[in-house]
Amino acid sequence: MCFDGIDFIRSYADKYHHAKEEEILFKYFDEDLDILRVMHEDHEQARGHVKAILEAIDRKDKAAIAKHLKAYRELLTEHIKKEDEILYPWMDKNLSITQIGELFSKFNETDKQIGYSPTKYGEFIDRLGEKFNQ
Amino acid sequence: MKTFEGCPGSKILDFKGKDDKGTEEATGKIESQLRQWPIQMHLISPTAPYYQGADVLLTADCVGYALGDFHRDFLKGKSIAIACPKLDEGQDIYQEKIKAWLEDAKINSLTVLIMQVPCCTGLLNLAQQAAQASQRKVPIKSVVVGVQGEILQEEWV
Repeated sequence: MCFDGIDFIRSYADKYHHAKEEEILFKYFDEDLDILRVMHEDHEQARGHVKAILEAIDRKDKAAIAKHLKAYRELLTEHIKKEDEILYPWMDKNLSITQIGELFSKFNETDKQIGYSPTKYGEFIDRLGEKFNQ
Repeated sequence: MKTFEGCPGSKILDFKGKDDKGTEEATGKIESQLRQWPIQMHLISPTAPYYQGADVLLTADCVGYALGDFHRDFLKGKSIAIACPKLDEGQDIYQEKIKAWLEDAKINSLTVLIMQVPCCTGLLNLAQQAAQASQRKVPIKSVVVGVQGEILQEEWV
């Protein structure tokens, strides 16, 4: 389950979501803006935790695995809050409808290239929900 | 006094006092932002050149009269079609045309402007149904305009 979780984080959270933000969305703005630098830093910290989890799995260090999973959860909870309450409303006000249409198209194209499969990750989340909500 | 029991869209309202509000009057000629003809949904061809890759405005008939800054704030830079979801006949063709915008004209975005009256939501429903039936998706924005020209709601659908 831990490896499935890492796959979810790397493929869904990082590749499908954060990578599209960094390689497409953020480029529509001045990337030196504080809000975007904060989001980049969050992404890098998240990748650091994932790397640490994988190294801890190799060492069979359960305490380190738990520590970095907890830290990742806290980081991502705050990150999502920043996106929902600050970043995305600000971007919505500062992007024209033309730009939004272009972004939508670029995201769809990227999803096709990556081979985005929402079903696989949706099923994983459902399994987690069933296991931990008992 | 008997209360109004008919369709809210045809309820009589009088805004005569609005002239006294002291809002700044526009000075100088206001340029039209209309860049195409025709505009009525029954008459348009969804694959006309001005729809190719365009940001499209699907507007309920009354919106252009209610919104003082319609040309400047909404029409500028966009292609348009107008319709009345309550009174227009033969609206099946409208859904096909919207689908053709999405799939054939490959429009960039769709903004649906409707009035606050309940009968107007039919235009948004039409757009959503066409989008659901289409293989190609674009961002769709819904804007609800009050009878006195105020923007009541603006949201991504």
